[in-house]
Amino acid sequence: MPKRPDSTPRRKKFHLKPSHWGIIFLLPALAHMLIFKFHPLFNAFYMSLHEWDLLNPPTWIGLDNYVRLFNDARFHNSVSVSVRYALSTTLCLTTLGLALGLMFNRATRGIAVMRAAYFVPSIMSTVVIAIIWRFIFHPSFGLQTFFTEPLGYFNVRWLNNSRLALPALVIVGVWRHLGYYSLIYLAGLQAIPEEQYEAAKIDGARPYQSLLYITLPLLRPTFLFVAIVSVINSFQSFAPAQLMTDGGPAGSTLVIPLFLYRTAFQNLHMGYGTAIAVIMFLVLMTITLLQLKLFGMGSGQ
Amino acid sequence: MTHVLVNVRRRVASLGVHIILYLGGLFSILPLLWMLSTATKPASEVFSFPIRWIPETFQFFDNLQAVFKTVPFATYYFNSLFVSLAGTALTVLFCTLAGYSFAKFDYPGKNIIFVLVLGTMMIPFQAILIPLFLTVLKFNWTNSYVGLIVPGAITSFGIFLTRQYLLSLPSEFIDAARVDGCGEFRIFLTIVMPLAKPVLATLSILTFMNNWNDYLWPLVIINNPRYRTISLGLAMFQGEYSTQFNLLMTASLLATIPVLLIFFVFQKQFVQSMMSSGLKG
Repeated sequence: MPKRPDSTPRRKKFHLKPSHWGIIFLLPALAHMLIFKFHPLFNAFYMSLHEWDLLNPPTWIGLDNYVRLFNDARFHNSVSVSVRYALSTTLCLTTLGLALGLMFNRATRGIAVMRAAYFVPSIMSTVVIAIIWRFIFHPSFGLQTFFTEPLGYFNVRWLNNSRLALPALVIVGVWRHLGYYSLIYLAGLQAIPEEQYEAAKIDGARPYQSLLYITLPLLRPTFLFVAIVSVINSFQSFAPAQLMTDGGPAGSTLVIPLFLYRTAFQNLHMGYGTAIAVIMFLVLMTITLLQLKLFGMGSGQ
Repeated sequence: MTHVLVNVRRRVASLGVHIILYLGGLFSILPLLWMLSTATKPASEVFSFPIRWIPETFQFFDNLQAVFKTVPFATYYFNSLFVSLAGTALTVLFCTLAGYSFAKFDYPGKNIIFVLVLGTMMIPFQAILIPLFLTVLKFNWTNSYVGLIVPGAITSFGIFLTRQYLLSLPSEFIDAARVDGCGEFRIFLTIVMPLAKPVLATLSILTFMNNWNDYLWPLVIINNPRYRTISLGLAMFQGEYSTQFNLLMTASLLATIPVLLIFFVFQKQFVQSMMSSGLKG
């Protein structure tokens, strides 16, 4: 940016250089970031070393929260539930999303309508989604009877069965995000240059060979991107577990975010809650850094 | 001969692809149709067997009345609209200001600050939920519009998005206006903002949707019914009337309409903006 010569006449009384204005324009965002992002982040680490119920002053207990956490069966359960939820959801989304993306790439008619149909679930509120699906899973009058009864299963109590509740949440998660991820795959597919396929065709490659040796290897970055983003997002899924099953039955859907919420805001163990948050932060951060290492900044655009 | 065969095979494959896609698409919107159908039913038909998609007695308007009678739905609706719109306006204004600053100005430390901004994108919201709640508690912002709006009012994603867009804009307009003696803030309002319209549209759509659908934050800081947003109100409604599915679906439908409207009007931008956000929840 060329600096303005000082001899230029100005109308303003304040003589600020453009670079000063740049700083002024940045200030609100900077202040906001410090107050609502960095301060809470550092405070999280600090608070996780305390015991605090909001009523009495916080007491320093060092690493006790972490020690307790690692011996807390409920936390072990939450981690296990969240990992199973995130991995199953991601497995379905990466594979089904790929299949769907490939089909979208072949489709010639009605693409706009279909794209809208697949995409709509991902714009809806998670609360609305949870409410709709709670009724869908109703054992005798829900929409699920439409699919389970022809198969000979009656009165399936999806949300009250500790073996079916988590799969039910996985179904909801996959349904919600499938359209979104398939469109990411589609974008990846469309970025593959047409010449690659033409060259393969001239060499006598069959369609499945093109798919196997050109499409899939070139889609690897997209695949990894979808997998990582899906894992990160799945770990943070809260509303369905809270509103559809309330963590139950018997803790089988007590995902980490719900465990964190209960610990902090229902049992008022602020320090213990933040310790959970810190661990969650470290895990997700590691995954994110992995993603950045694999793709560099600003991937997925 | 082989030509014809290949053609037939290709047609069959294409037909198969379309059938699968349409079936999948139907499956994708089936829960929405289910919501729509249930919202028009009287309670007696909600619990009827077999499933009836089109009710014998169409009762949508009675359901609507019942919803507004049992819960202060109008309040929730107003709160959500107000919070989402105000939040979006603030996001657009301040993110563009910061993005403009990063794109078109030079000052010491700029790059470091920008990297920090990008870094905050990686902080999962739940990791800072509790300390953020404590900050807001200290400010006395629980149970208030300020508390709902301000903590999320500036997003690093928004700054990043506007910066990338403004980088690609030529600086000539800005320099010309400066030579003409135009004030910096006026340059921003009358030149930069209009030039950035496409990216501002994207940002507004995405921000509005996120604000409208937000649940965890209102759940944590609001317990006064006066300030409940629609998501929060719906969740409380379902807690109290957990088996009145026709009313629950009517309320859910109402809560979904604004996002659906925006989606269908700005479909292309919507899809693109969500794709570009990458880390959308």
